[in-house]
Amino acid sequence: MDVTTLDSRGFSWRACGLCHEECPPHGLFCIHCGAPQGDAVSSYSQLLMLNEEDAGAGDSPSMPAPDVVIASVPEQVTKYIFQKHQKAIPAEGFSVRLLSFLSSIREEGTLGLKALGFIEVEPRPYQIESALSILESMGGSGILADEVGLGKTIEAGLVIKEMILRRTARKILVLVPASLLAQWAEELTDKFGLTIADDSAIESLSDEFEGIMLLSLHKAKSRKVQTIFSTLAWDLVVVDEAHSLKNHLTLAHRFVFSLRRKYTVLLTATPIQNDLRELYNLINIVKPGYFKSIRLFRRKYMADRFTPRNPEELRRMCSRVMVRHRRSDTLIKLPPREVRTHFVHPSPTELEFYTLTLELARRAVSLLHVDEGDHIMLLLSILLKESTSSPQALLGTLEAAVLPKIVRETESVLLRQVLELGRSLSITAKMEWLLEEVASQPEEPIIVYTEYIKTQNKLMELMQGQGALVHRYAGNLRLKDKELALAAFRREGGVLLSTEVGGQGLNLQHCHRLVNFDLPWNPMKLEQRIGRIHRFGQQEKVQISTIAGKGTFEEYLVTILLSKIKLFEMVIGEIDSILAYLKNPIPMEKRISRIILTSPDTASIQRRLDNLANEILTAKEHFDQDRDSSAKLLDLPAAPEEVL
Amino acid sequence: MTTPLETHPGSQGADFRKPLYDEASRRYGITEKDGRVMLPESMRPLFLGEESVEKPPTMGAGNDFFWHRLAEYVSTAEPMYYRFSIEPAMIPRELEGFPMNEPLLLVWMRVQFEAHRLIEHPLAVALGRDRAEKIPLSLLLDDPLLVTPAKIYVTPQMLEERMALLHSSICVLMAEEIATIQAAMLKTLHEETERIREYYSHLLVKTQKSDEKDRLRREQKFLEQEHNRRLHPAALKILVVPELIASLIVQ
Repeated sequence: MDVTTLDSRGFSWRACGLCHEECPPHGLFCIHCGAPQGDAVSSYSQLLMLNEEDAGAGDSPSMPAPDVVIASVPEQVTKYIFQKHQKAIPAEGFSVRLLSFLSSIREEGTLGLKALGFIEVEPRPYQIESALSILESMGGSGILADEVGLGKTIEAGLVIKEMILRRTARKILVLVPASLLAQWAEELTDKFGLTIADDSAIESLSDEFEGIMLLSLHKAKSRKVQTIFSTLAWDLVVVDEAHSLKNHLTLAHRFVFSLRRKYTVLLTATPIQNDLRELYNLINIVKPGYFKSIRLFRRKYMADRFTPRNPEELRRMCSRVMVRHRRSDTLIKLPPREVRTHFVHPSPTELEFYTLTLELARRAVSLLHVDEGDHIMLLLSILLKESTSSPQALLGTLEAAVLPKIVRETESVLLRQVLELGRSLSITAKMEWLLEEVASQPEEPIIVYTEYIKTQNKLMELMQGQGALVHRYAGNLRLKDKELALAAFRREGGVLLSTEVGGQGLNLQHCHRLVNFDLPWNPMKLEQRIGRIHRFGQQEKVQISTIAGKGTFEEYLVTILLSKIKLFEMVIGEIDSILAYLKNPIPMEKRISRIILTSPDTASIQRRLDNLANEILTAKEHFDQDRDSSAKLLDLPAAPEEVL
Repeated sequence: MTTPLETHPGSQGADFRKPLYDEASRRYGITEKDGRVMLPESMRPLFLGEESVEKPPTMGAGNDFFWHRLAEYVSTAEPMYYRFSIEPAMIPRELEGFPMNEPLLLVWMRVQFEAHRLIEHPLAVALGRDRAEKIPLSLLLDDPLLVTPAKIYVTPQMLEERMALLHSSICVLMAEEIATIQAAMLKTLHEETERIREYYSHLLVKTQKSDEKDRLRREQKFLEQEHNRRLHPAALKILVVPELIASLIVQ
C-alpha cells in the first residue's frame, strides 16, 4: 500500500513499495533501495520479466542496486596516511592539487578524456572531440568516418585507452586488414602504451581473457576462430577499414554482427560506397535495428539505390551514430611537397655486387623446403634490401652467418664472391650523391632515413669526415640519448641520421628536407617518414628526395611507387585505405619480396611489379569512387535538430 | 548543498584553469615567451619532450591536452594526502554537524557511471565515524589560512571504516543522479529493444525457411540479452576514484 506524505513545499512524497522509505515525488526509482516508482513500474516490470526469462524461471526480480566499486587509495598514499612519525606535509600543494582536480571537470555529467594524460602523442582537437562523441553522446558505439589521413586510428586508440583506464572495457577485439596489422600494433603500443595479446594464444582463449586481441579480419572470420569467439563476450570490438563489412551477405559482415559485444567502433573513410543499402548495413552493426528495417529505410531514405530521398534527415540520423570530419574542418593546411627521384649510376663493381646478391637469394629460394618458406623468404628479402642500402649492411648479416646452412654449403662460391665484392666497396654511388647533397646546403637541416644501423654508421663516418654536423637517432640508443639527439637537431640543425624508429611519433616540422637513402618495401612506412616533417606546423615546401641505383631492382620499385602509383602525391593515410581495397590480403612488403625473389629475370620483375602497380591503381579507383559517394551525402551540414 | 559549480550555472572546470595556470607557473617555473609557454625541464617529458607549447586556450574539449598533461604533472609533483588542523571557531558551516574529536576525512573524487553512456560527476564528501555528507567541491580552496598543517595519525582500520562508509553511502549521496541515470537507461533499453523487435519482425515475415527463422530468433534473443547486459538499470556500474584526501582535526 502506498503511503503519501507532504513535504514543506506541499509536494507529496511517496513511500517506496519495497523498503517503505519516502521518495521524492517525481523520481522513477526509490532513492534508498532503487526500486522503480510510479510510471516506471509497469515498463520496468516488463523488463524484469524479460530478464527473468533469461535468468531462468524461479528467480525473483532483483532490484537495480548499482554495482559500486571504490578504487583503492594508492599504496604510496596510504603509506603517508598511516605514518606514525610524521613530517608535516606542506599545505601549498593542496591548493594546486585541488585546482587541478576542479579544472579537469567539464560540465557535470560529461567526461574529460583521462587518456590524454597517458599517451605518447598529442591528438588534434577534432580527434579528441571524435573520441568524446563516441564515448558520450553515442554511448560507446559509433562509426569514425573522418576523411582519409585525419588520424582515425588515433581517435580509436583514444577510445580504447579511455575505456581501459575507466575499467569499462577489459576484453577488446581489434580487427584490421592484414596489411595494417603491424601498423596498428605499433600505434597501440608506442602511442597509447597498450599491450597487445599474443594471437598465438587464440586457441586457448576463454571468457577469462583480459586484454587486447589484434587480428586480421581475414583470420578472425575463419571457421576455427569463429568457433572460439562464439562463446566470448567482448566489451569492445573495433573494426578498421570497416567498409569491408558493407555487404550483409558476406562472411565478414555476418561474423562481426554475430560477435557478442557491448561496444562497437567502426573506422572507415568511405561509409557509403555504391549502394545506400551499404550504409544501412554498416550502421546496423553498430546499432542493430537503428533504421528499424530495410523496407522502412528504403521507403524513407532511398529514391533509388544511389540517390537518397530526404538526404537532410538521413544526414541527421547518421550524425547520431557517425563522426565525420573533413580536411577543411580541421584547419590542417599543409604546404606542398616537392618529390625528387635521383637515379645514380653504380660502378661496375657495385652492379656486380647487386646482381650476385640477387642471384644468391634466388638460388636460396630454389633450395627452400616447402615448410620453411615464410621465415627464410623474410630473411632473403632483408638481404636484398640491405644490398641496395649499403655493402656494410649486407656484410654484417652475411658475416654473422645467419644464412641457412644449406645455402652456405651449396652456394659457397657465390657467397664468397658477394663477400669479397662487398668488402672492396668502401663507398657507393648513392653515398657519393648524399655527400654532395648535404654539402650543397649545409645551413639547411636535413633528415636522412635508412633502414639499417650499419648503413647509418657508414653514412655517419662519411659525413663527419666531410665536416658535417650529424645527429644519430636509432632504436638501439637509450631514451635519454634519443631525446638529446632530437633536441640538438632542433637547436643546431645539421643532419639527423635516422633509422625507421624515427619514422613515427616525432615532430620534426622545423626541417623541410628529407632523403630516403633506402626504400622500405612497405609504402606505409615511407609515408610515416614523410609525415614527420610534412605535418601541422610545417611552413615551408617539403622536399623529398629518394635515391636508387640504375639497373637495380630498387630502380623498378622506385619507378612503380613514385612515378606510377604516385605515392608521394597522395594525402597522408590514403595508401592505407587503398591497400585495404586490394583483394589479395597478403601484405605489400611480402608481395614485393616474392616478386623479386621468384622472378627468373629482370624483365619478369619489371612486368610483375607493373601488374602489382595496376592492381593498386584499380583499388585506388574504387577507393576514389567510394570517397566521392560518401562525400556527396555526408559532407553537407546536417539539418538542425529542431527543424526536423 | 550548493557547490561553486552549481552556484554559477554554465560554469565549468574552465573557471579554475586560469588560477591553476597562475599557481602552477609560480610553483613550477612555467614562463611565457613570444606568446608561447616555456616549460621547465621537469615538465618536458610529460609534454612529449617539447621545450615550449602553444599558450593553451581555457575552453573547449578539444583543447584539453595541455590541461590533462598539467594535471598529470601536478599529480606527480604534489601529494594526494594532506593533514590539517582547524580552530573551532573556523570550522566551515558544512562541517559543523560532525564530532571533531577524531579525524574527519575529506575526500574529493570522481564518480563514474557506466550506464547507457559514460557519465562522470565530481563529488566531495566529509567522512566522520558514522556519517557521510557532501561538501562543496571548493571547500578550503578560497581560504587557505583556515587550516594549518598538522600531525594526525590515521590508523589503517580507521581508513578502512571510512572507505566502507563511503561505499555504503554513495547511493544515497548520489541518489538524484542515480535515479536520473537509471531512468535514462531504462528508456534507452526500451527504445533499443523495441527497435530490435521491429527489425526482426520484418525479417521474420520475409523469411520462409524454418532453420533461417530459428537462426534469426536466436540472433534476436542474443541481441536483446546483450542490450540488457549493458542497459538494464541493474547493470549500472559506479566507479568511485578518490583524487584528493585530507584529514582534519580541531586544534
